[in-house]
Parts: sequence; C-alpha cells; structure tokens
Amino acid sequence: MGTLSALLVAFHPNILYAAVSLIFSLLSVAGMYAALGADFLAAAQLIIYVGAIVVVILFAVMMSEDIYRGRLFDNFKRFLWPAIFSVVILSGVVKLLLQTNWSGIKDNFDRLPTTKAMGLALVGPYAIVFQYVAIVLLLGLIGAVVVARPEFHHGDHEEDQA
Amino acid sequence: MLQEFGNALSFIVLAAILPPAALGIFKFFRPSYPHAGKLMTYECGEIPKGSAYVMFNNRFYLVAIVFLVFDVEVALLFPVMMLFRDAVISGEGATQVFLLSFSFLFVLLLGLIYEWKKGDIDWIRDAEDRRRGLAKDKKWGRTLAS
Amino acid sequence: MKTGFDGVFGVNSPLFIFSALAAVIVILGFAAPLGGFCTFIERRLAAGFQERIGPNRVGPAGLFQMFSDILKLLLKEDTITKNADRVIFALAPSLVLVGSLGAFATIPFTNNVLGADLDIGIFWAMALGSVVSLGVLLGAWSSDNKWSLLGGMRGAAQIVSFEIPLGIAILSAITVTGTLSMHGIVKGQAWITSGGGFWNIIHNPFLFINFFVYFIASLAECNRVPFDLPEAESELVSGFNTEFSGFRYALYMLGEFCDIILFAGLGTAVFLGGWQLPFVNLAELHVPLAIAGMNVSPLVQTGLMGGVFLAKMASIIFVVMWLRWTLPRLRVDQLMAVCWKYLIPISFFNLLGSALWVWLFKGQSILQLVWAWTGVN
Repeated sequence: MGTLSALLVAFHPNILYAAVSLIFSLLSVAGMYAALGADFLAAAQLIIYVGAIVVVILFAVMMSEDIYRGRLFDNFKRFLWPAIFSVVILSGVVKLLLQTNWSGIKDNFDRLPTTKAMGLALVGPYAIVFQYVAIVLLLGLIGAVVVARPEFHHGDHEEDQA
Repeated sequence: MLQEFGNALSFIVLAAILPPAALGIFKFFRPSYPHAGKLMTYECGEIPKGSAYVMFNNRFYLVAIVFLVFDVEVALLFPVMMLFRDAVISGEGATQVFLLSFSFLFVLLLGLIYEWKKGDIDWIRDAEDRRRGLAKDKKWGRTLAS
Repeated sequence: MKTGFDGVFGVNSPLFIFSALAAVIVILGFAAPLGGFCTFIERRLAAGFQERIGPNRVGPAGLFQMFSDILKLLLKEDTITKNADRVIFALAPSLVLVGSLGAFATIPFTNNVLGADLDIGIFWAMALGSVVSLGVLLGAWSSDNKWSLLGGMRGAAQIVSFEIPLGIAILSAITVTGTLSMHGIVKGQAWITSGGGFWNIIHNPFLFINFFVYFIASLAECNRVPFDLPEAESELVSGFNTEFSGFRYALYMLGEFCDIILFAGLGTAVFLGGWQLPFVNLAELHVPLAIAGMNVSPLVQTGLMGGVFLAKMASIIFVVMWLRWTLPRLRVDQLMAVCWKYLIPISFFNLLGSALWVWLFKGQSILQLVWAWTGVN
C-alpha cells in the first residue's frame, strides 16, 4: 500500500488526489514503524504528519488557484534537474541499505517500549539537541508567520521597527 | 506489543470498512432518479455562478502552521513528561528534566507571545482595526464604528 | 498484556482464544450503536430542556427511534452533485469515522476489556483524533460548494487548533501518571489504601483546571456548542455537510457523536479515574469477598468496572448535551481567541503548576498528602 500511494503522490495529475494519497503513504509509514516496534514513532508520525502536515499541505493546495491547471507531463525538460538529484539520493540510499546489518533487528525486537528510552535520550545525551529543536521550531514559527502575514492595504502607518 | 498494534489496526480497518460496506449493501435498496436540479450544487435556490475553487484568506494557513509547530512541541514533550514522575520519585535528575522540558516550552511560548503582540493570532479583525487606529470599546473590547 | 477479554471469562475458558477479535467486534459493535443511540438521547434531552416531549413513538418510549432513523437514511437516494469529486466525497466521511472509532481501541473500559493495551495508549488516541480534521476538510472540498468549503476550512482550523490545549491538558495529567499506557493511567488512580493517588482531577488544583480545559477543547474538537460553527452553518443550510445527503450525512453525524463518546471516555480514563471507585478497589474485589466466603466470578467484576466507567462517561456526555441547549454559539474569531489566547496560556500554566507539584510533593495527590498527614497507618 505504501509504494502505491507514494507513486500516486508523485505522479497523479490531479494535485489534490496526490495530496490525499500522501495521507495513505504516511499512514503506511506509520504502520511500518509500528511493525518494526517503534511504537512512539508510529503514533508521533500519525499526529505530526497525518494530523498536521497534511492539513498544511491541503490548505496550501486549496488556496492556490492555478494549481489545477498545470499538467504534469507537459514539459519534459522540467524533469532534468529533479531527475539528477533523485538519482544521486537514490544511490546514496541504496548504498546505505546494502551496508546495514539487517539481521540484528529481529533480536532487538523485545526492547520495547521505546517511549521511555526516547525520553531518557532527550534529557540525557541529546539534551542540547532538544533545546536546538526548540529554537528551530521557534524560527520556523516566526518565519512562517512573517512570510504568510496577511497584507493590509489601507495606508499602513509606520510599524514598529522590530 | 505487536499484537496490540494488530488489535488497534483491526479497529481502524473495521471502522474504514463500515461506511463503504453499509453504502454498498444498501445500494440495491436505494432509488436513483438523478435529474439536473438535484445534481447542481446547492446555493439556497440560486443557480451557482463560477467554480467553487476561489482563493481564500491566508489566515487559515497561518493557523495551520502555528498549529504544526505547537503539535510537534506537544508530541516531543510526551516522552519527557513521562519520565518526570519517575525522575522525581527516584530522586535523581528531576531538576534536569524539569529545566530542560520547560525551557523547551518557554522558547515556544516566546513565539506565541510574539505573535500575540503582533496580532498574528487574531482572526484578522482586531489587528486591522488597531492599525486603522479605531477606538475600542473599553468594556467589551469591541471596535467602535467611529 | 491485557487484551480483549483476558480474565473476563477466566484464562482457562475456551473463549480465551477469540478474545482479541471479540474485543474488536464487541467494542465497535458497542461504540457505533452507542453513537446512534446518542442521537436519540440528544433529542430526548433537548426536549426535556425545552419542556416538550421528544420522540417517543417508535418502540417503547421511543427507544427504537435510532433504528428507524438509520433505516431511513440508508434508503435515501445517494445524490452526488455533478461537479463534486466523487472519490474524495466518498472517502471523507470514512476518515472521520476511522479517526473516532479507531481510537476506541485504547479506551480502558475495565481492567481487562481494552481493545489494545498499547504502551503509548493515550498518545495513540490523540493521534487518531487528529485524523478527523482531514475528514472535515476533504469533505468540504469535494463538495464543490463555496460555502461548504468555507465551513470546512473553518472547521478544520478549529479542530486543529484545539488539539493543542487538548494535548497539553493530557500532558499535564501525564506528569502525574508517569506512563502513557491507558491501563497504567487508570491503575494509578486507585483509592489511597490500594496505593494510588485517586482520581487525577482532584490530584492537584492545576489538574482540576486542566480537566476543564480538556473538556472545552474536546467540545471544540467535536464541533459541539459553543463551538459548533461548522455544524451550525449546516443548520443554516450551508457548511461542510451541505452536499452530503442520506447515509453519508449519517456517517458524519455518527462520526461526531462517536467523537464525543471517545473524548468522554478518554476524559474519564485520564481525569476521572476510569473504573476506580472510592473506598473499594474493584480490580481486587474478589480477594476480600473470597475471604468473606463469597465467590465472585470475573464476569461480575468486569460488569461492575464497566458499569462505573460507563456511568462516568455518561455524565460527561450528559453535560455535553446539556451545554448544547444552554450556551449560544461563538463567532469564529472569538472561537480562535478562546483557543490561542485563553486555553493555551491557561493549560501551559497548569502544566507548569502540575509539574511543580509533582516535584515538590513527590507525585502525591492532595488526598494522599492528607492521608499521610493524619497519620493513618
């Protein structure tokens, strides 16, 4: 189910259908996380990706007027750079896949539950990273609202220079 | 643990099957007399002009983005808060957990306060009225017409 | 792992093997009709509040009303407007149902009847709750109706923004419980003598306020008064439900009522102590009774616990319905202001307060402190 939805996301001409297939591909990623024993990640994936990011994407899609007019396979020249990049990334991923030692997974299956371990990591070794994440989130927040701020067209008087 | 997820999955699958199954089964019992009037979009009796896909105000998008950030924050705080009680009871590391999690929270709270002051989380009206310098009714906070 | 009906019939019962499947079918077979039943209850309660009699003709005292309603809606013609996006139109109500019914797996009805005892129980329930917003948004979009779209976008914005105070209120309860597993959360709220801290809502004053934050946020999640702008717009014959007729509309309404039941269930589990009663520990009831010479079967125990849980859930649902006929509706900007300017700061503050309490008093509740102070045992 995951591959089918992913293919639909990339190639479906109707962008809304692409966004909806995104829901299914993210759901299947969550399922894969659960199957691998990462319970917290599965639920976090659901909350963050399916719950929040898809909503953002859908809002963005719904607000862009011209987005339905574009046809995907109009102009093949547009595919040049994306194709190059994706081949590069794909080769990197494949190399990673071939190098990993997959046999260790079955033995580690019983190291559940993961939430506590994750919590310990976040306040232990990765505490600084945790704080950095907060700052990055803050940057994203402020940046997004500054960019998406609605404009006022009635003779704005001087705003504070912040 | 995996079995638990399997159970949860079966709940989801069953819930997903229910609507199409019900609709499908009763399709044989349903009348079907489509005619132009029924197939048109509803617009309180008038005939709709133009497509429904018009451009909307970007405050929806703003709310969605702010929600996204806070959702990530809440999701990340869950494992940390889980540890908090055990850290307190076992006596070690409670300060560390507390400080770390609340500084995380505080940083994002700063963002919220910034937006509040700038009027970004108002649903447009207040900020715009403030910019126009319109007087505000002291008691109810509503903008006066003058 | 507590799954399905372990322990209800006793481990040696031959029904043990089918416990998981049975849990799924029973719980869903319970939840969905309960949602339908709620429509009937709502009409009767509404009638009571408005000093009239509600539906009372179909069946004894009108109890079969929901069946006639469902039958009628199923047999209605399934019109889909010409310009509507058929695939998504069909998909959207299912998303709402998946979100609300799927999370039923984690509601701890009793000690043993729990669809899926995930270690991240409450987190999973929250995760599925956020899928509901997608159902609303996509349904509105696929209707090809300007007002549906507007109502749906507002609805999605509302559902989505109130998930944050909801999450933070639950987070503050987690500081007290120390575990995300639903079973653990309820067990931690046992009566003092059994080692628990009793119900989370009176654990400390911050949690008390956060319960109300949770309650208000769940009202907004389900599009209930005073936040029913997306739904009320449909009463004004516009809004995201407009183009949905017949059974599809029923699916949306069922989804909404199941959402209410879900949040009521989560609220009782996390804040009101689930199936715990004061003075007795229902899970261990058979011990003292066995000493007293009475043999209590696990089935009776389960029934008792389930009954307590359902009673608490029912009281929350009653208040939800009561509010519908009492409070006026909030305007959309007031609604957003409530969420971002009031609920979020309040819940943050209470999260801080609850964490401080846990730190200062080593996780003990007010009752435990009083108990220890009076020097009993």
